[in-house]
Amino acid sequence: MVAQLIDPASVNPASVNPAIAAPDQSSQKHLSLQIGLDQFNQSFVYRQYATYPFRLSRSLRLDPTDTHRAYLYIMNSSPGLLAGDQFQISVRLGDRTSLYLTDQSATKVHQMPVAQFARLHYDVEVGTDASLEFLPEPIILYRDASLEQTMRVTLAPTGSLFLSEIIVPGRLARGECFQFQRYFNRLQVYTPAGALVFTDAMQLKGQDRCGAYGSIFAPQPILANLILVMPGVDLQSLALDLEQFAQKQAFTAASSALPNCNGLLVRAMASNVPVLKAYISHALTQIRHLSSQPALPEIPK
Amino acid sequence: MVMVDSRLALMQLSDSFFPSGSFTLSHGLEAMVQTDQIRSAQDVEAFLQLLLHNKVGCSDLIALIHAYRASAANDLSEIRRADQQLYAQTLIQATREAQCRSGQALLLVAQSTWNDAQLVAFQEDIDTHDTPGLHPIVFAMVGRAVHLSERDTSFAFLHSFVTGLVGAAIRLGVLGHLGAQSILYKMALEIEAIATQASALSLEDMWSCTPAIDIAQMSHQRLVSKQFST
Repeated sequence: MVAQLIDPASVNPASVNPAIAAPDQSSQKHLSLQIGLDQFNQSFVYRQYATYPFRLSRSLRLDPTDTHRAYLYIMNSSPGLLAGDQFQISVRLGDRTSLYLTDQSATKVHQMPVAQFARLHYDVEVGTDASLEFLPEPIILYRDASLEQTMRVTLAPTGSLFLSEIIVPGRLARGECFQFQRYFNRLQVYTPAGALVFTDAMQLKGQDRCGAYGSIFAPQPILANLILVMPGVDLQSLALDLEQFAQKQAFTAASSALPNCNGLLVRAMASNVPVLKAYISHALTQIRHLSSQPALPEIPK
Repeated sequence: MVMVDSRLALMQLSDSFFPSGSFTLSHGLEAMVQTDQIRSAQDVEAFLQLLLHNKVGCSDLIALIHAYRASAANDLSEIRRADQQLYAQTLIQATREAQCRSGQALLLVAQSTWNDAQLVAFQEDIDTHDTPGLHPIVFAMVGRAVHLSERDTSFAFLHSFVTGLVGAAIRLGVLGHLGAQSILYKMALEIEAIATQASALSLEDMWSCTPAIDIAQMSHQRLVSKQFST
């Protein structure tokens, strides 16, 4: 692996989107990240702020042949999400920037007293011709865990978005499955003018699987969702490719065109995490191929 | 328009004989039957429970109630907002298109049956692509046009949905007529609670969570042979 640190002296201030130039002081963010473009067409961390429990890796160039895209890891020093946690993360990509964002390891959502929960909010902006790939590690919902996760994305008409999530309904190896209280996740994607493009809001309750619905849906308890918005890319061929991949690997997945944009929703269910990770990685590899971008390198974890 | 007893209007609107087009939908049931995920009356009941509680009751019905209230206030912009919000939240293309088709079919029938200026204005909005015209939204406006209460309109919508799916299960061979009546009775008990819950929620509260059914709905178009359009 060749990793390069960006030289701040090479920054061309004129190439930084003025809309993202000022750090957001109004709301209490626990991690705030702004990506700009330097004079060498390299995406770099223009501004960052991190407080407990988050830290941010340096910008890595995991693909030596692709100096345009920055690769970043969010690091978390907490034992996981606990009752009462309320974290806010802001990610802003300036025009023409590219970012691959991930984290180090799975997020454990711990047991919580009844009626208490943890909250995680993401505020994301993707500028003109910018590209965000956000592939966090799985969320593991322990017994009696309750998590509310929201993400608001402001996406420029020519901006690209690749979001993935994997939800593991407990410590499956020890027989803990769908014993959490509640998992709520709301994704809202807006245009810069404030028009709603689409929204995906899901709520899982542990007892849904343990009770009446278990007989139908028990064999593949791990869920994954993929949201892709790729202006100008033929997503039909990607949908067919993903379908064939799922058939070969013997898990359940399907996709559908999203409303009001050139996007794809993919839902998948499997009995183990590695197969879903491979599926997501394959989808991103194919997307990069279809949009004539450099191939996805190995992402060290 | 000549007034008729609203109970008769309720029966007319929620009858499978009413040509709204929604009785051609299986909502993913056909795909799950063909892939052996649903094989028994118990499976059909679980499928219905899941759809009612995790999709229709917490998404379509909330939009319907909001549209009904806007329709009663003759606020077309709020009706359009409910329509567009539901459209943006209906992420499965086949379902969106089916909702638009059955909404349009219902609106055509309603316009030819009942004389109502708001229905005509909404048709113009659809024709000019100002709003998609989804089935639950049109259903709400028709319920208001025939003087049904908000609650009766919700009941008629949910009853139509349940009878449509139970009918689909019979046609797909996973449910007999006696079992169907038993499920209809059980679902009637659920419908009241679902309608009460939905009436207290706003458009911003809408959610849905039926991943396995979503996958079935997305896979339906690739079935080799099929009786239903979704």
